[in-house]
Amino acid sequence: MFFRASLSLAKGLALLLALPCLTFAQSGCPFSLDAGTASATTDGLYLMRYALGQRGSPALDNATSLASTAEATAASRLRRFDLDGNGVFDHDDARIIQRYLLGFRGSSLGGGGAYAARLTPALIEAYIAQNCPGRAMTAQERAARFLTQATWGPTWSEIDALVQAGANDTAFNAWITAQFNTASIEPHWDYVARKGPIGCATDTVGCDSNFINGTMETFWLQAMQGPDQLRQRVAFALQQIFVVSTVNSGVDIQADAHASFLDMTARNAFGNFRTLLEDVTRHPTMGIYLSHFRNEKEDPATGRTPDENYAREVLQLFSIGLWELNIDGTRKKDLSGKDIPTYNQNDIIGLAKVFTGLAWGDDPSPAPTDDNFRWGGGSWKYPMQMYPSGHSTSAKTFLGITIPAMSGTITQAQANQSLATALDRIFNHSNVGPFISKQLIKRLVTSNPSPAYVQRVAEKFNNNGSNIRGDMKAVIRAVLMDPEARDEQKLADESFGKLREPVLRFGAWMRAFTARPASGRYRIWNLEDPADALGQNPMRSPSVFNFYRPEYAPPGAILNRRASAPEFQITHETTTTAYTNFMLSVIERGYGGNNDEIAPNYARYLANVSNPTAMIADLNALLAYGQLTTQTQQIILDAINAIATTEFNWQARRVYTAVALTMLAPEFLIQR
Amino acid sequence: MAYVSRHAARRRFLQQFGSLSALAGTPFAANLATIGAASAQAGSDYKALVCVFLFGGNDHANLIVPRTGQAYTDYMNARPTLAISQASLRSISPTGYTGAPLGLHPAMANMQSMIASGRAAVLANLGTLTNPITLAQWNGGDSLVEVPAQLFSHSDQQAQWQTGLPDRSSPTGWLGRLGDVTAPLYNPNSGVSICMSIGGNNMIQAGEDTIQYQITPQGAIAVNALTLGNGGLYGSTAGAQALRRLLTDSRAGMMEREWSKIGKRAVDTENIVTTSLANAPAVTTVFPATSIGRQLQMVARMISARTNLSQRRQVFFVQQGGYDFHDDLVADQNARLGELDAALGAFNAAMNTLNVSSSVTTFTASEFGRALRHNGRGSDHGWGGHQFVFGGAVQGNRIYGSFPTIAFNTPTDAGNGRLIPTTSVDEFGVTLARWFGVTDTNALSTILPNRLRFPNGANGLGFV
Repeated sequence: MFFRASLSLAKGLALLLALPCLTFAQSGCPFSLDAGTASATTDGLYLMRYALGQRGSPALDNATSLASTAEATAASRLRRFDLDGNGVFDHDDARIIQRYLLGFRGSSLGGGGAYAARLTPALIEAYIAQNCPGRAMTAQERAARFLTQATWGPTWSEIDALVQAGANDTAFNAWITAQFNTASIEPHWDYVARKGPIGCATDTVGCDSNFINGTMETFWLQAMQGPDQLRQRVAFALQQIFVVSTVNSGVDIQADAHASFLDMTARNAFGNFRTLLEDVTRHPTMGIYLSHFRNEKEDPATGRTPDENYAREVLQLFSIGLWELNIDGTRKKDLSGKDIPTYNQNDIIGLAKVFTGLAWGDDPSPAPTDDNFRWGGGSWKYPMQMYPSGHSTSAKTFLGITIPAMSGTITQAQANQSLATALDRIFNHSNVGPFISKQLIKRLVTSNPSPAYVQRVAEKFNNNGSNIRGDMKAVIRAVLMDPEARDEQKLADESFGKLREPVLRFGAWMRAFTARPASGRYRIWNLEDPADALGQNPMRSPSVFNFYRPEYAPPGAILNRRASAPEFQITHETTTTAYTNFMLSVIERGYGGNNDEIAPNYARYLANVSNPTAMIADLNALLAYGQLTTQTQQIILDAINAIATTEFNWQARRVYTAVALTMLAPEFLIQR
Repeated sequence: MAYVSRHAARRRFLQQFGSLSALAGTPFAANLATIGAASAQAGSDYKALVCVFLFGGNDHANLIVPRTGQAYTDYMNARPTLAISQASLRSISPTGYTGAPLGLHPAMANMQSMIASGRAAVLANLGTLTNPITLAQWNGGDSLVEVPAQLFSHSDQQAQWQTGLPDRSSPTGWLGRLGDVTAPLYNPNSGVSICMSIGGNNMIQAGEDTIQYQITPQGAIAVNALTLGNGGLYGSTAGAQALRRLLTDSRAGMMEREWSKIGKRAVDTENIVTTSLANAPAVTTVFPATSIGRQLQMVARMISARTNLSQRRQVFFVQQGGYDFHDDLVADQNARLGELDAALGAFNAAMNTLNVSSSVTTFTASEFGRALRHNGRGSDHGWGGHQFVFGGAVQGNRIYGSFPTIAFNTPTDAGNGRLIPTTSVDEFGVTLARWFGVTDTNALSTILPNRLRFPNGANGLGFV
């Protein structure tokens, strides 16, 4: 008797011990159907009724006090709620869920029912641990997560606005539409021409932004403060596909060259890909960077052939890639099962002839004479124009087409036609949709999209619904509104998401805490030192291959499972340490100094400093859309509480600690 | 504590020496003794390999040039806008080389003197190959002879040079696999990976068990808030403990786990490296204040700290970018090679000063050579190219492999003077692996699985 009694006492204790774990709302498990904490008497009861076939109010939600969305949430999770794996969510599963919520574990949890794949409690517990269907996100968290994907970082005002609108697909779609119609602050060109922000001529600092510094300042100003956040984020993604750089480059200090290129990516972010491709090709900054500026036609007398640089990289990096792709981004195979290259060296030789004869344009354009081709000047602001004397007239064969040889002296229109024909051919290659779509998904949402996700976006690229190919608005909307991007269950998918790149982490902090320089000058000139800063700086990629390749995976577990994690290419012992040091310093002291100090505003948190739990909850929603694990929250809470309210400067130090630990938590670093 | 867990190392070892499965159950050390590796454990010798990767594809035709007679004329005619003047070439006279006299690029004064003194050698027309291939096979598109996939692409040729497996995708590189084989034998007590990079993440040092360790040109950097005496996180030691947990605790989730693994390595290794460097003999040689100079200076310091690091074998990776000479080849290559040569010269001097010159072998690598054909101001992507290897162990002032004829339509011309390589990376790597102490044929084939497809894949090229 005594023995039995102590057993039930042990059970009771286990139940009591299990309960505190349920009180943290952010804990992934178990089984909440709304934003509240899961319990056997609400969610458990609801699911039991659901399993027994009841639907709708009041049959389902009578006395459960769950949100009205609970039924839809339940319906979307039936596959995961099939705990015993017999292929259907039934009352056996609901019974296990109820018992689990009551704290039963081990043999008292119970095993699977008829035809179960998971018969034992141990297997069921392991399944729950792996596939734990978390509580539904709150509206704030849904909004913050969306903004993390679509902007340079959520702010409370943006979150609140989306919550007001419902923080659902309708709200997000409306936000996207509004963003498509939101203009930039101004052209980057104007900042650089003025050598400072609007009003610099009359402020105390003056217009002193020389050389490339001006471009860096206007880049950050617009990324951080631009009302056109979606454009800013997408333009930055495009800058990582169509890479120009000031490193190992013929355009290293020319602020106007890079400002013009930034403007070009911003202008085309919501345009058509065909125009984007041509604007990239004709941009003088790209022309210098990939050396097709003043690229000359072949010359049999000296044995000269056209420079192949742009021809190769426009195919490999900017449009179709190396391998023939299916619409879902997977590689096509030949009859023997091998990957199929999209082009060979002869295609490059043929296409290189197209990119000859390009040099300065301007407004008005210089006369397209041979002298002007070789020696004339022009402006970084305008696309390169064709100079017919420099353009190859021989037959150009590539990607299955031939532009016929032209005889005699050709006109500028003929040279333009060569280029148009080539760009049309590239644009219409079936690879472009999946190739570009997958890269945009990787930049905004996840490193390893499912083939179906890639296909859905690529189909929008191929046809926006109005028989238009290359509509970037349709593509961007498809990337962000795809079920895979929005599905809350993806939060529990162990391979979903992406490592936030270093500059986006820093950007998220500046936006979250309204860290702005009083002078308006973002003197963030160089963040690339991997030991002292972030190991990444806009417009300073080491080569046209960007900071990381889209398919990169770190050797080891990720590479072995053939997944990708591009941002890990610049992630190692040095950069993780440097990021830690950099953020710990910036969070406390801001970035830069004097008038230009980028200083955070922590008022919202200083007001809450006696209530660490509330402070953590707020930061969790803002920076990690509620994904900090219970354990992480506890670690942060303990650290905050260790700073006693009697200590020197305890208020500020508690805030620094909370912000820093949140931004160093893996749940922040890996965007899901 | 071994960097690679002993269990993992042993498993790897037994996989590589699979024929020894009959010995399973005998002590690990006895296994080693049986195959003659006991000397590795008992010995005290030291060796290091230094890979200097030149990103972008170094131009070979202006690196080593036929400097007299018709051969120079052919070179000049082939690339009139790029040719280096005859007078400025730095003469070299390799032993046993009977072709047209050769000159080195004018920016490479230190390399010239290292070659002349027998300390440096040239690897001629080296490149990525899946099989030996002739011009006829190349032109005929002989489907029986595979060529590396996506020839002439930077990213693919970089990966293939580094994995040593141009016929397949590989999660490891040949220096990483060399580390897998040698680290358990030579560095059993080291807390730092045998493969160390000052040049960023790379493929060549990725092993099955070996995880490359990144260090900065200034050494290992510490998380300030975790450093004793810094007062913790914003003045709180409890905060520092929290920070340490967030950085290093193992996590669920594929990428979270990877991040935490890196964080843990960073925190665990930094103190070992910092202490080892602080207590090592100073490197007094003055290095140039260039990126490549600073990287090689750090290599020298880590070599000086080898005993403190418990490392009898070290593999380093450094890199220099900017070799993609489509444009302004003459000026840009002169600048890049000038920086490189000054840094290599300083490194060679430092090895002499540290008395390890015969223990350290340094080599250059680059994803491809460039076309002989000019495009006006530069030249385009090629295939084979020349590399240097130097150190006290090198049988120098020689050319290894076959120096190509610098002209079009030669037996090594894949088109526009892109060289069909005549020596494979496999043969090159085998030579270095054997010098490094790997003699077992199974182990060599683990490091370079395709090696026996090539004439010198069994025993190497003999330059060290």
